[in-house]
Amino acid sequence: MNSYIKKIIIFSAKGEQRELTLTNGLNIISGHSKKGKSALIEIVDYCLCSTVPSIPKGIISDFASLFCIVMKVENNYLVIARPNDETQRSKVYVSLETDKSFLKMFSISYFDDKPLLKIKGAGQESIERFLGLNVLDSNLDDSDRKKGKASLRNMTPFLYQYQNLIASKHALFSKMDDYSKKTSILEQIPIFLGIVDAEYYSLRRQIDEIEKQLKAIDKEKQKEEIFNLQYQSRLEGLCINYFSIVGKELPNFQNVNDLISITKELPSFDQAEPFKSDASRLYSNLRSRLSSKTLELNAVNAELTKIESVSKSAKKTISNLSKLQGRVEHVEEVSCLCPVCGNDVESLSEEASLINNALDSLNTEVGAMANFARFDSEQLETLKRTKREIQKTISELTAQISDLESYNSKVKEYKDKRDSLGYLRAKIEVVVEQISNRIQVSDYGEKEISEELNSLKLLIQKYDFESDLTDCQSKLNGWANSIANALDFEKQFLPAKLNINLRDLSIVHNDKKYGKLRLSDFGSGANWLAFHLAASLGFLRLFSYKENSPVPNFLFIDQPSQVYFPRDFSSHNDDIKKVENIYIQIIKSLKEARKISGSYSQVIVLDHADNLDLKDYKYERYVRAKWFDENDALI
Amino acid sequence: MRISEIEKLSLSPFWLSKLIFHFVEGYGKETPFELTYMLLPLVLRQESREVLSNLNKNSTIYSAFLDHREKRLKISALQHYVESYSKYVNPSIIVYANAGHSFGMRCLKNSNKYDFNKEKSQQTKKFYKAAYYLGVIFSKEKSKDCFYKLGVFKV
Repeated sequence: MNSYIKKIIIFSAKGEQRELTLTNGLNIISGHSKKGKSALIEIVDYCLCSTVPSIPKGIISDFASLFCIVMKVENNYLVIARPNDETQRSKVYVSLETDKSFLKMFSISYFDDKPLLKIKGAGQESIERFLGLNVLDSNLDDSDRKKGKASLRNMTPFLYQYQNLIASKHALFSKMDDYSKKTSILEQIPIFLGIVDAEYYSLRRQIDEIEKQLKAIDKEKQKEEIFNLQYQSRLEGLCINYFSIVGKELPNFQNVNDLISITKELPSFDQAEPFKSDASRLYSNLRSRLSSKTLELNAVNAELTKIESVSKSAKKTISNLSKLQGRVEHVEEVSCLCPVCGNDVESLSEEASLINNALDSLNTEVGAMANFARFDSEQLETLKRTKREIQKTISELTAQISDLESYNSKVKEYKDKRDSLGYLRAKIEVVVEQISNRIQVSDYGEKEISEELNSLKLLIQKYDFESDLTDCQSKLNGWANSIANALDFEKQFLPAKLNINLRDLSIVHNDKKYGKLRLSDFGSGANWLAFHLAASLGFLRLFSYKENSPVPNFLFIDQPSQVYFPRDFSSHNDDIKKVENIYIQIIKSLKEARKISGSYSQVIVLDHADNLDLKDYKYERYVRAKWFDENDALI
Repeated sequence: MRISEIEKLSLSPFWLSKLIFHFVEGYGKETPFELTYMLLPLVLRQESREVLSNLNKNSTIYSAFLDHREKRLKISALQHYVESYSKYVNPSIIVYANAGHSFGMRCLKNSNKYDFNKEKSQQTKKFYKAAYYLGVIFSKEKSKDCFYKLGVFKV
């Protein structure tokens, strides 16, 4: 986007104004020291949202209440004005005019109805927007620090070659000594070159995000595979159990999805349930009969026990009596004599008769007992028969009951099976649900994402970042070398083979003899000047060549003649010739650039030199101000 | 059958005199008649009769009744039983003497020999055997030592 400074205006509080009108191409502001030449750079920089008020204190700052620049941006006019007031330093007026008619009656009143914008915010952003710098977020996910938006302030090193910088051997551009500023300038060079824009960063971010997503999906898929295997084996186990209980074979399956479709049609238990209530009625009936029979048996047994115990005691008595029978004999009734005194013992005779009576009675008793035993055995026989009958009934009942019980246990088993089937079915359902949930989750729309990624990649392909940058670099170096060769580059190093690296803004000369030589490796001020002019004019040309570049196409060069110390600009010595050559090369370079880009860039040279002979070009045509007389100055 | 009739039959002097006969047989020599007062309670009561019927020729009062706590229990309170049974002893000795055996110098001596093994009734044989071996173990002691060792001090 072609843009240059049309006017630099300073308004006083009283409404007075000093203005300097500039054109595209070369603009020479010539004059003695302390006339306010260098202040022009500071004013422009101040209007371009510098936070540091670097405008020199003194006449200018006393006079000014508002600094203003009017920039021509394509066919429009961008008016930027910043109050000098201490309280409003952080504010800026920004307005865009489409017609130049406003310049005819341009005064401080122009700003009466214009809003003051904060420089850190709306003010700077509107300037950037008008210049075509619209990358608000240059962050990429892979970066480790926040890059933020591309800033107008990072363009300024390419716009000014300060008096102390133009012949410096330490730095090519200003602001390069601050690491963080340097880093952000380097990062934003592709934006300044118009190689990339906001869409590029947006695309890059989207691509990065999608690639991250795809990676996550890949991870998720791997997890899913493991998950599926685990759940397949679990589901398989459950299904095998289920089918074995139902008594059927598990159909063949290939993967977990087959298993799930099998579980959708689980066979049910088709065996009819036994009619349980009938069985239980019968069972309780049998039980009660059995218990009554058992009672009968107990009664019979008790009777038998009684009889047996009676007969036992009878037998015992008989045996005891029989023992007595064995040892007692019938005693003859004889008289017994005492062995001591020889008298007849009568009591013994009586005793003998008593014993005989008792013996008779014993024999009778034993006979009676035998009768009893016979009667007893008859009764026993009847009872035992009854007992046998009862026992038979009991055993039949028991058999029936045990049949029923085994049947009952079958019923129980059946119920258990049904319960366990229900349980298994529930378990299977839970696992299937887990798997299907998982599948829902894993349906990430990977296809859509990949398609989106491809379309994004197609879009980003138009930003041929690397080759574009390489192309820029080779063009820049070509132009810089042609300038350097035309300038007063030391002869032993000719031809100049400058190599400016766009990635780190380093500049080296590839010498045949000494190899790579940095700026600081050279000794002469003329060489340093050549480096600076070649690089800054090269960049100016590059920015105008890249039509999407938002960098304004102007360049301030402050005192390029300083290295030659021309004592007398009136006499035409070698030093003057060299200074003249600088101007000629600047004009040539600008003209060449116009051939390619179709638009003139602007170079504003602030210098002491005057009345130079620029050969084919008329010096006076390029002079915009001459501040040599006492009353001639910016203020 | 009355209890008195059973008593008559089981404690008849004619039956008991046969036990004295076998006791004297086991004693092997003239037997002091006072020892028969211990004969009846030891042979008629079952717990001591079981012990006696299992003795042999080498047995002593000590090995039969005294060398073990269980054995000593078999003769506990023997004094009491001696007193209870003593009324049946005298008629038995009279019947014994009238059966032709000698009762001279307060000693008993059988007039003929008899082997208890010839008895056919096993029950009766146990009685005779017990009586015989009681005679055997008593014959190895002085008569007063027999009383003393078995805890009998009054007849």
